[in-house]
Amino acid sequence: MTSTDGHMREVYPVGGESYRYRIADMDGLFTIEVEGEGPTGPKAEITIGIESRQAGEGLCRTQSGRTHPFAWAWVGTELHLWLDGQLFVFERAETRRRGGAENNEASGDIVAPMPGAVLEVLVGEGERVEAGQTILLLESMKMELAITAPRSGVVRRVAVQPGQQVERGMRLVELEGEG
Amino acid sequence: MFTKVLVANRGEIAVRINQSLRAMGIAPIAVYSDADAGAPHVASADYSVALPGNTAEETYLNIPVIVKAALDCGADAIHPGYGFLSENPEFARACHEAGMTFIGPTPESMEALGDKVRSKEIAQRAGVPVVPSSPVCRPRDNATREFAEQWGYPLMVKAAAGGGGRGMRLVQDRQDLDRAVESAGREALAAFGDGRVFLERYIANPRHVEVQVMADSFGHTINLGERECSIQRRHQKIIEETPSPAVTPELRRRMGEAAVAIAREAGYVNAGTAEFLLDPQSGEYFFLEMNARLQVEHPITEAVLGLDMVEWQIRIASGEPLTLRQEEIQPRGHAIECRIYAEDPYRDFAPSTGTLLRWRPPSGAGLRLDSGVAEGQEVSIYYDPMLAKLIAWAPNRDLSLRRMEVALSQFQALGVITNIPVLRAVVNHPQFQAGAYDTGFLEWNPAVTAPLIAEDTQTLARTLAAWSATRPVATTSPEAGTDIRAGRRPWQSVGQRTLP
Repeated sequence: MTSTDGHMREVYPVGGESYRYRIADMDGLFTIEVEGEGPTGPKAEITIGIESRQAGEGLCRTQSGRTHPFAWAWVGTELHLWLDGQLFVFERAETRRRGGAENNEASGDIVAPMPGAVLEVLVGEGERVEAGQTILLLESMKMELAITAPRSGVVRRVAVQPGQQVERGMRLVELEGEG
Repeated sequence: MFTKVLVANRGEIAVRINQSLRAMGIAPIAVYSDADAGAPHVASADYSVALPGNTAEETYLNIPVIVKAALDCGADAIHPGYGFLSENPEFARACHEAGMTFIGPTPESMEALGDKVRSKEIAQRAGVPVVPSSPVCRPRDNATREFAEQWGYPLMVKAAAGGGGRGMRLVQDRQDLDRAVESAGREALAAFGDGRVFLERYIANPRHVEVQVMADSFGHTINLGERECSIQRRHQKIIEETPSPAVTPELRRRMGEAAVAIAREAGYVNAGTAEFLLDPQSGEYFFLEMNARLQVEHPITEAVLGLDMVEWQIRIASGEPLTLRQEEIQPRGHAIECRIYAEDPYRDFAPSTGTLLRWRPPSGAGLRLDSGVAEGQEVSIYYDPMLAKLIAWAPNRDLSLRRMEVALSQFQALGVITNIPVLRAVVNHPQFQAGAYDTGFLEWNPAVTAPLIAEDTQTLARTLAAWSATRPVATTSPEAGTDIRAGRRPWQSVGQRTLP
């Protein structure tokens, strides 16, 4: 019997929560203890049988006899898991998030929610913006997306120019004040 | 009949057209951008020609380069699919001038119908009701102000050359009007090469019902029944079904006749679709626009009628008569289509990109998948984010919905975020199942687009993620060709006609 410990974080579809796990392997029968660290993280201990004939896919059987096909793949540092018709994304909690794809209100950075090209910048440095105001237009896959200010404040820096290609998570505009 | 046909498109529709061509004994020729080398639409064709570049303008919208490719390969005809150049009369003319058949309507009727303003005039001449609209307008001009004052807010801004939700804006009040006109015009220019827009009265909570027509060049025009397309996000359809739960036999007959009347008035030849807004309360319908091309959701019509519409398009274009009679058109059973998009349904349907590390579509009785992607393929920012269409047919509506639900629950896709869970939530929704929905469905039911995961599933997901994380990583080192930015690959120059 072998035992492995680890620390994971949920990224998608609901992100943010991390949990610790301990896996005990007894000839393909796994007892896995997971304990969430956030307020909603339940502690659970499940014993499941897993059949995996090739990397990236498996069939899991719970103690009630219910079978669940599942599949996984690593996308960079993210673990994509398909289960019961839903995509879940996890990462190792040790891994530092690069930049972060969500607009972090505390930091004042407004980042690109998707890859694309900057069509138009509607604000200038030093300009005051209200929460919800459109600050720039992004084009991706032939669609226009209006990027709005998550809160009121003053534009400290505009980090992009019209026509510029941006990656998801790239900083577009920096806001200051009124956190 | 033709011997070689170039398909001026990509993705699932090009694959689907290649299938019909091959079944008819015609050799399909694919064209492809740098990003699409090795894509399924190339693999399913007999010949292929590289279109250098990646943007749509450089490649699938590049008329001279596509026409030259067709000539170099000895094509007799060009099928444009939908989107890209499908409703571009210049392209149809360029094909004719180069001595090839354009599989679709004439450039003249395309010009008249592709223009939403002129198509409404045609409908009115045919005695079909239309939604009130303004002439073509610009930001801050009089036409804009007058129309807005006459009909009030909210109102719609639409692209004259438009379709697929592009160049379309809903304006809630006066202060947003100019920006919406400007932004819609810019988007229309980028998507269709034509930035003209107009305003239209907004009909609250309508259903979107369209009628398929088919006409040959001998004046025989029939309708192939309706499709219900009310489940939309950002004015773009994501789920369609036929027959429509809102259409009675009497209404079906009237709308079918209206669609045929418009097609006749326009001298229309080949497959086309008349789109209507239907007020489910009053049973009133308004003609919206005529799409002078094959429609994305045509497979549900094929499913209930048991015919191949692309085959008919090709036969009609080659000069054969349409031998189907209106009385023969009797739908059998029920069909539903779900569009699988590379987008995040929980974040306002933002497009997602990446490599499809796993792509395992379901199979089963009554299922059809029209897919334009393959496992290992890169989903790029360059094109429409639709990956595939899943179609479920059954003898009745309940069973077709259940078949769809099961199929969606089994559809395995990893590496790129898709809208599959939300499609499933819609199909499972009691209001959808009762057939009582309109174009505002997603707006009225925000829970459908919220990530509500049952606690048991969440715990099992955490457990399996933990287990998977301890497994050795199967290395997927990118082969030559998986990086779309790497440029041209050697295989493109072997036995290929590569254009300058």
